[in-house]
Amino acid sequence: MIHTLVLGLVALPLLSALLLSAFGRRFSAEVVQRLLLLTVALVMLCALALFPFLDSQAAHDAGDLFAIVWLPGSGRMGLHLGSSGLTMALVTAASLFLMQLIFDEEQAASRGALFSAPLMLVALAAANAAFLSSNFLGRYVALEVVGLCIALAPLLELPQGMRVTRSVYMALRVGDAGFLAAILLLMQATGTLDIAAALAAGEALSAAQLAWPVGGFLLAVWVKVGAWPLHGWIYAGRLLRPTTRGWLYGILMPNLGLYLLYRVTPLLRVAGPLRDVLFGVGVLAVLVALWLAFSQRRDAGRLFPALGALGGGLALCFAARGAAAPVWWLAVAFAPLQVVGNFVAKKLAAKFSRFLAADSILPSAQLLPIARQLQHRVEVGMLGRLVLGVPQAVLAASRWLYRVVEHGTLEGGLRASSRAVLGMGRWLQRWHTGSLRDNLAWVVVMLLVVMLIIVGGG
Amino acid sequence: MSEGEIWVIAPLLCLAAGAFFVYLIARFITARNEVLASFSALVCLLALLSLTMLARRCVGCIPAWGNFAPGGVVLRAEAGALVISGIALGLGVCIALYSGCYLAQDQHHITYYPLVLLMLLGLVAMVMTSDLFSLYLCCELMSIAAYVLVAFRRATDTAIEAGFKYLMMGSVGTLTMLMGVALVYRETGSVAIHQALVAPGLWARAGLGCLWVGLSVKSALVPTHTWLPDAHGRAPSSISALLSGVVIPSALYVLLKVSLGVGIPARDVGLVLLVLALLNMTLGNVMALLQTHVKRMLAYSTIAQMGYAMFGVAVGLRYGLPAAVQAGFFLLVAHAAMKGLAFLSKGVCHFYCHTTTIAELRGIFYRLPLAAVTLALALAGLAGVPPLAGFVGKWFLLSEILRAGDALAYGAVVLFLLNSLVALGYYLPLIATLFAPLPEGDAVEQVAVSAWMSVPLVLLAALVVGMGVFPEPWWRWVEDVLVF
Amino acid sequence: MDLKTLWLILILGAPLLAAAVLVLFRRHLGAAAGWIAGLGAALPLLAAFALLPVLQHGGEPALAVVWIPALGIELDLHVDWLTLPFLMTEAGVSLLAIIYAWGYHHRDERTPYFYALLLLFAVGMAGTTLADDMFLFYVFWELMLVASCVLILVWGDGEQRGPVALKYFIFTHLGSLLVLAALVMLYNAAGTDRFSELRAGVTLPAEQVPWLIALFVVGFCVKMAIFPLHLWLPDAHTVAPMPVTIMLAAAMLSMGTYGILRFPLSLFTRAQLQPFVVPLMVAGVISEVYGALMALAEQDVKRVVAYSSVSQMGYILFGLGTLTYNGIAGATLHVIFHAIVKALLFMVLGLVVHATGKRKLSELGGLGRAMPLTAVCAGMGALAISATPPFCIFDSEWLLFSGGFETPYTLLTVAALLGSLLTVAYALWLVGRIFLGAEPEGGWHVTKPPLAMLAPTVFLAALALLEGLFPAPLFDWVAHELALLLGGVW
Repeated sequence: MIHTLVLGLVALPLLSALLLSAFGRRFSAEVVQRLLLLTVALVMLCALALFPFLDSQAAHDAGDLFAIVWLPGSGRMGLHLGSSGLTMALVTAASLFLMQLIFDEEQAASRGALFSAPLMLVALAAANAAFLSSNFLGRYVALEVVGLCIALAPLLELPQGMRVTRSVYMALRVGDAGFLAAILLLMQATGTLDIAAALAAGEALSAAQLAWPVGGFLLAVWVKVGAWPLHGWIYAGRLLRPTTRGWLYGILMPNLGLYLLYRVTPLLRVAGPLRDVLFGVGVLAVLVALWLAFSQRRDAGRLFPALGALGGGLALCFAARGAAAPVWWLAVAFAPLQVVGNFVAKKLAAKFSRFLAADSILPSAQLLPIARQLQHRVEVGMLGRLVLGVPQAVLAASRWLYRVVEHGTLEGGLRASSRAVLGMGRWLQRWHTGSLRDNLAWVVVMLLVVMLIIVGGG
Repeated sequence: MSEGEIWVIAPLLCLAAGAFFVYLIARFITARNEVLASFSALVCLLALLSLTMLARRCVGCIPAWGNFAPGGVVLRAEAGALVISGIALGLGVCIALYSGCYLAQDQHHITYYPLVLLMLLGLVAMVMTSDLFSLYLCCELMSIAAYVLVAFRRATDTAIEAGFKYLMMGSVGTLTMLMGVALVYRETGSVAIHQALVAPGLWARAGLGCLWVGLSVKSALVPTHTWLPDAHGRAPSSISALLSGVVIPSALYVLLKVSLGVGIPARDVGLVLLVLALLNMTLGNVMALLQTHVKRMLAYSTIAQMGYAMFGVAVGLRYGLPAAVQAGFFLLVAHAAMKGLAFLSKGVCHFYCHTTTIAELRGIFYRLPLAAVTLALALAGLAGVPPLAGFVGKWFLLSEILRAGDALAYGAVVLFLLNSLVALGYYLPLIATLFAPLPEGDAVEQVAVSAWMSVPLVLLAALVVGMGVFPEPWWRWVEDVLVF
Repeated sequence: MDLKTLWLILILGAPLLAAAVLVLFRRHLGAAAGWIAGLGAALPLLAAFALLPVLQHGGEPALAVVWIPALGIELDLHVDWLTLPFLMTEAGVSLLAIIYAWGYHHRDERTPYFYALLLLFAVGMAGTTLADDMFLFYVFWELMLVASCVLILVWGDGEQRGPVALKYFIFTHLGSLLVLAALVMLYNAAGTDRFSELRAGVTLPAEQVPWLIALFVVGFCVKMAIFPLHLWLPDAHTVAPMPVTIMLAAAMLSMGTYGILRFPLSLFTRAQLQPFVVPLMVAGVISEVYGALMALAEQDVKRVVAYSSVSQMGYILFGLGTLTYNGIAGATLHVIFHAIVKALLFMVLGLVVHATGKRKLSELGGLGRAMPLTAVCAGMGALAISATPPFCIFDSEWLLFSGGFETPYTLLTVAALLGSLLTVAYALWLVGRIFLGAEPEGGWHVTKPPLAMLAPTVFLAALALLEGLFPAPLFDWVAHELALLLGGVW
């Protein structure tokens, strides 16, 4: 029973995605929407039905479900029925269901659903696997799949989506690199990749040992919740269809990030002086997120992405103080808040079009110029130069290296050395073009040298 | 009173009689090139067979023949002399056959075959003599024949010029030798090679110095090598093959024999040779890079290859490693086969397609596939591509040289390896040129190569491959080359 | 002579025989030339698989023929667990490259020579892995170079092929000479040229050991194209015809890794190698980052992927340098997986060039609509090379980085890990530019790719995924291999 239900959480969306991608062309957009809703509803039912089994003897006996050894040496990886993971899975699925309902009629006409519905279903399946995974490696794989789905969405929905896809995927990979480094280091320190075991063993480690892994996890969380300055990817979603933007970009990834933060909170608790730094970072993140949110134009697409960072920052503050419960509640409440926010925004958009036509949602007109100024200076200036500048800097560096090192120094050196050999040859050639007298002179020279050696040296 | 192993003079008699009779045949019976070529080849073959008999009869001893009384002339067939004469006669067979077609366009082949045989006679006698004066005489015999052969195509000015340059340089060399012999004789009253000079006086030492210089001109050691590119470049290819393959190594061998025979310490000889070897290989390789004429390039490559061989010998002498000397002589043998093959293949291209420069050889593969393949094989061998003869030689050389564990040797090895790299810079483009596609529109006709030419090419090519794949017998052959 | 010896001979004999047939009967073969070459390349792969059970039962197929008794040089062939992964990779890549050549290569009267040289190239690589003595090792090592050089020289693209082939030969020969010097030093010091005897334990003069290691490592790094010894690679890869490029990039580069595993890591102790850990790891990271940056700066698609090889070899060197179980196992696996993915990427490029005749990134774009299957394969290749799980390269990078974190040099490993993001960047950039992006005016009118080119591409794309999903057998092979290294003590 447990097996079937857990399988349902992962396999149902996958099957449905397969069906949609195979036969989607024959279905109308409406059918696609209905199928999506149906699948998500079934997933929610599966999750709900699993709650009674939590902490039951049956669940305990089952241990890790569908456990396999993928990479030998990395331990068994499977799905573990834990209350927090299951709750997050339920919340995430429910938020998809609701978002889909909210924006149903808006999207019914567009054929884009045909492409993005399977994508969202795959992402849902992978997210469920990530929430329930008992092994860090399994989680990493699932997160990669989610990341891929998120990155592919612009490609399918926007006419020239490749540019967006590229930057989104790169940003997500930065976070994943942090995650990968963290779990590898944690494995190195604790000898296991089993999430529960590794975290338990991790609490016994020293602050110095934990610094790198915590840093890696934090980088991962930072990217996933879209906190400044790694929030570019989440804003890139604003051009997409409402569900894709609202759920795939706005809810799914931040949810995974918040859940990750919740899970690694015990490590932060023991991370020593690092905790104060983290607390400061959290406060800063909250402030930046608030400011970013309020200085934006009045547009849900621009407002809601900041929520992830807000939640992440708050959660980090709590986590740094060792309070796991608030982190947990933030993680659980985040998706419902987003759904409600989106719903309200949609309803308001119709009624308060005049209000929305104004530039900012800042209530006071006096504050507006200051915020604008700040935005111009910091958001465009600093961010534009520093963060968006990183890829440009890398490209510039690569071109510079290409020109100066590869072609200037290395290839040039190669050419210069071959020229030197040839030059030496030309210099030597003078002997050979010389007259017979010159050539005979060399015999005399040699004779003299030999005489000198023999007569002088004995 | 002459006594000893009579087989020692058998090859000499063969060659002398052959030279005489081939001239008689040409003069009075028939001047047909093919007949003369086959007769000369037969003579060389007979001489080679008698040399083989000689080697078989005396295992573990040095056969000698002559007047053993003090002041008498004795011929001694040491292992080294057998090796050098063996190469010379083997290559002689090949070029005699080759000339059967190669000289078809020339007018004066009546004198060619006797001269070749005389040159070989002088060479074989030179490496076998055991006294300085006969050495000088044999060297002159060999050289004079060689001068004439270099200028053989006397219709062209360049050949005359090259021959004249060779004559002048060579004569200065041999005269210096003669002076050296006289000086040594003046002080010691003896001209024996195999008799160590005890505490030589100033005159004797000066005499030895003159001998050194004279022989180094003959063996084209830098800086007295300047005659070689011209001589090799202008002589008929068959003669270039002989000059490069055996004449120069024979002078080198004699140089070693004299130096060690009169008792110069091996360490000192080794040091001097080491310096000269490094000069030779560097200059040869660098100069070869600049050449546009194939044969001149091959000539410089000879200088470089002599440098490699000398390198082995030098290290062997300096550090007391007999196997390094062996490796050096293995390279000499391999070089004779490879360079002979290269010159002969080039000659085929010249004979059929009138090519002299590297650029003209472009796409020659599509006209003369056999010659192109053998030339490529020879060049690859010279470049040290496994599993050809040159590679095995270099492997032996390197493996023995690295046993000498001091900074000088290691530095020399670095220079040697760099030289191998530089050498690729002229061998490879030439190989590439041979197989490069012809310009569009050029009519490609395969030319049938005469069997007179193709047989020696195939023989030598088989040798180049065979020495690489089965180096064992050849390695054994060059054992004890410096035991006198 | 028992069956396993026969298989062993077949690995070298079949391609040699096929090459001889191709050359001797070149006038009568026509279209059959490709099939004969394919057969000649398929048999070694079959033989390698046939030898697998022998190895698994603890046997080590070997063949010894006395060659030069005076110097104690023998012709020894030998298969052990260190040979196997490289042999399989080489044989597989060669077969696929030859099949690909059926479609790619334009047939003319020189075609039999082309296939014969491809086979010789394959023999060179197979022999390098099989040789159990230094002499034979070096002979095959050079055969590999000569055959590939001739292929570039005669069938290369463009007027630059002559100079490029020369550069390739001389540059790589430099590495060969260093290796040769090291081999000869080792031979002189140990008195034997057989690897099996060397591994059984030799005592070398202590002051020679660092020199030997350095010579071997630098020499093999030339073949691996580690910065700054990589200069031969981009040109050679770009000019070579695509089947040759595939064999160069996917199989020949790995021979450098094999050399490092076979000599320094097999013969010396951990203590002797310890001073080289940091230099190797640093060189690996530099090469990884530098190669990726060069790939980002390039405009020619073949050169982009060629520089990607420089980068990928950096990962391998990094893994080898860690001297940890995971690092070395990861390096070996990375060789195999890189071969799969790099062959896949070059095959995709071959399809693109075949269809459009263009190689500049700025002239390509939007091909995905015209060549959907190729685009999917390219996408899989790009994901695989950027180490996205569950594609195969993730598996090996996982091991590489976990090996890196086992060393005390965490910062270096973090640098390597972050450097791998550059791989993502150029892979996405390349595939995005070619297959997505804007189509030219009027869209693409592409010629339909031949099945012989498409089939290996699809096969490799599937293999990249399958190997990633089910890596256990390969991990098992590599575990056997590691028992041969560093005394087998981990």
